[in-house]
Amino acid sequence: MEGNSITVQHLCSDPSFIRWVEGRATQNEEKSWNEWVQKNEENRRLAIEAQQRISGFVFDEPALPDVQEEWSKVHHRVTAKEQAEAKVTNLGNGKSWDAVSVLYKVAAVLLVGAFVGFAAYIFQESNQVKQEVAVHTVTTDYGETKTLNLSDGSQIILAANSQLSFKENWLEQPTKRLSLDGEAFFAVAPKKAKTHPKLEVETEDGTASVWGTRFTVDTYVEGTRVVLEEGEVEVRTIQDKRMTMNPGEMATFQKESSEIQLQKVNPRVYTSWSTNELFFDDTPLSVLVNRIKRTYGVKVKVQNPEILRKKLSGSVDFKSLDGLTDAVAKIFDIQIEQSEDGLIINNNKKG
Amino acid sequence: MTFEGRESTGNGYAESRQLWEQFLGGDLEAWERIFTLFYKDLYGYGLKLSARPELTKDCIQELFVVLWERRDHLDEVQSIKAYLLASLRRKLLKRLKKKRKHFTSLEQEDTSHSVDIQFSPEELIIKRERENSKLQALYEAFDALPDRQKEVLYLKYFNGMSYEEIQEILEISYQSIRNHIYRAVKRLRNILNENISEITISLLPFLFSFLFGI
Repeated sequence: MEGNSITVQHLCSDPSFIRWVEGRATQNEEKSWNEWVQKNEENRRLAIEAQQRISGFVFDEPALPDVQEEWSKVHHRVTAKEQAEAKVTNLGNGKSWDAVSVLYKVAAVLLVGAFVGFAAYIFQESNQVKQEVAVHTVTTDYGETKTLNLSDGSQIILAANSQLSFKENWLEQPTKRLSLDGEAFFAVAPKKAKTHPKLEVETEDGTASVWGTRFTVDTYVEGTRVVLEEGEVEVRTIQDKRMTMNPGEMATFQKESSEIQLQKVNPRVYTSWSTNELFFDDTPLSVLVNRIKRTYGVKVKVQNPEILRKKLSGSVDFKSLDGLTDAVAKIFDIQIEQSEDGLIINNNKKG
Repeated sequence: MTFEGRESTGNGYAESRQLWEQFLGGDLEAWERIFTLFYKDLYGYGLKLSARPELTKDCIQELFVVLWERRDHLDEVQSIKAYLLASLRRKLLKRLKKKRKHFTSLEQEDTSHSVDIQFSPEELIIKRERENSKLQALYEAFDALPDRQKEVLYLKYFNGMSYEEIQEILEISYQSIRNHIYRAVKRLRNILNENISEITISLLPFLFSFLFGI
């Protein structure tokens, strides 16, 4: 027989092939048919057809979705992510802004209702300048942080599962404005003239204005929480209630209320994640559990809720979920099991 | 005939090899080619495993995003198709397991760790119209097969996978794949044999040729 003239007919009448189809072939026969079918897609096609004839039945072909459309979703996700990453690495040197403008379309898609306050602000602004200004977004996945180094020495560290948006020309503005959903740490280089704030971080609940300082903002809890480590921050709610914060204070405010709650805290407990460690100061386990949940996107099941009230001081490595759970288990003397569904926290049976 | 005679031309193998290399090198168009080439197989298999079109579409999408992001860490693969089917299977079962656990905990049932996949018996089609009388019997016979045997048969007959590729996809031993195929075919043949008496005589020679390989 000619090498390339094999047909379905041949296969169907070849006892050795039929034995292979029915799982009765000798080892040698199996080996060569296995190799033959893997050799190329044409052989595979012939094998499929012959096997269906031999067995006498076929499986129904599924009603396919629009493959082109399915691909475009993959394509979109792949390119959006790469452009966002390219932009973060570009932020530091400050000269690659053209490359960044590609992101506009993507960013516009990502901006959703949570940014009502910010959207209104852009609208106002663009009316004045009579031209649209592109908005850029940096997002992080679970278990991921991103660091933005600005040319003036300021640093922004975006926590896991968070999103930061800013207008294309924000760095040229006297007051640099950012919009945040999630959590970020800001270390802003001090400024000499105090005529206007250095940086403003907007959330849906209000704004934190900054004159050179170290602080964190997060929107994970109900409302927005600002913790000041060093320097000076003014918070302003969406209802225009203002308050100046001192270092070591935590301000909490919601869009529904005009009140700002002020609380004395150890700021390191709230800012230490930005240096890949977690610091506690008489902090209950529940605080830590919440942070693990939102950073790694895992579910946490606690067998005995009493454990959550355990308080402790110290610090743990925060780089990986594995390292973190090991350390937390040791410090709190508990058992943390990793399962498909998330973490399971238990009393230490040995203890 | 000799095994040497089974060589066939066609550069499908070399071509898909090349596609994979281009993909590893960051060629998004090559990745799209791979996506289009194997989408039908992936989707069909995913549906058989889960009977959930949306979940299947989701997992395939996710698979292609994740593999693209990890392409720097990926190696050459023996068989792209087997590699993709295996990855999709793992992903799907993980998602299904999560859901199932959720349900069982709601109903306070004990959570057994067995992964019993719901291999939904989609339409089986009898190749020749004349044999439609057997359809019901075949349905029932096929449906009664253990999940593993159905899955092995599906991968083999519908996707044309070799034993080794099935081994890679299902992560079970080579010998057990042999056994699964042998037993499944035997059971199907038994059922169909019983049925032969009811089938018109004109069909007999035909049937024998494909049931017994004469």
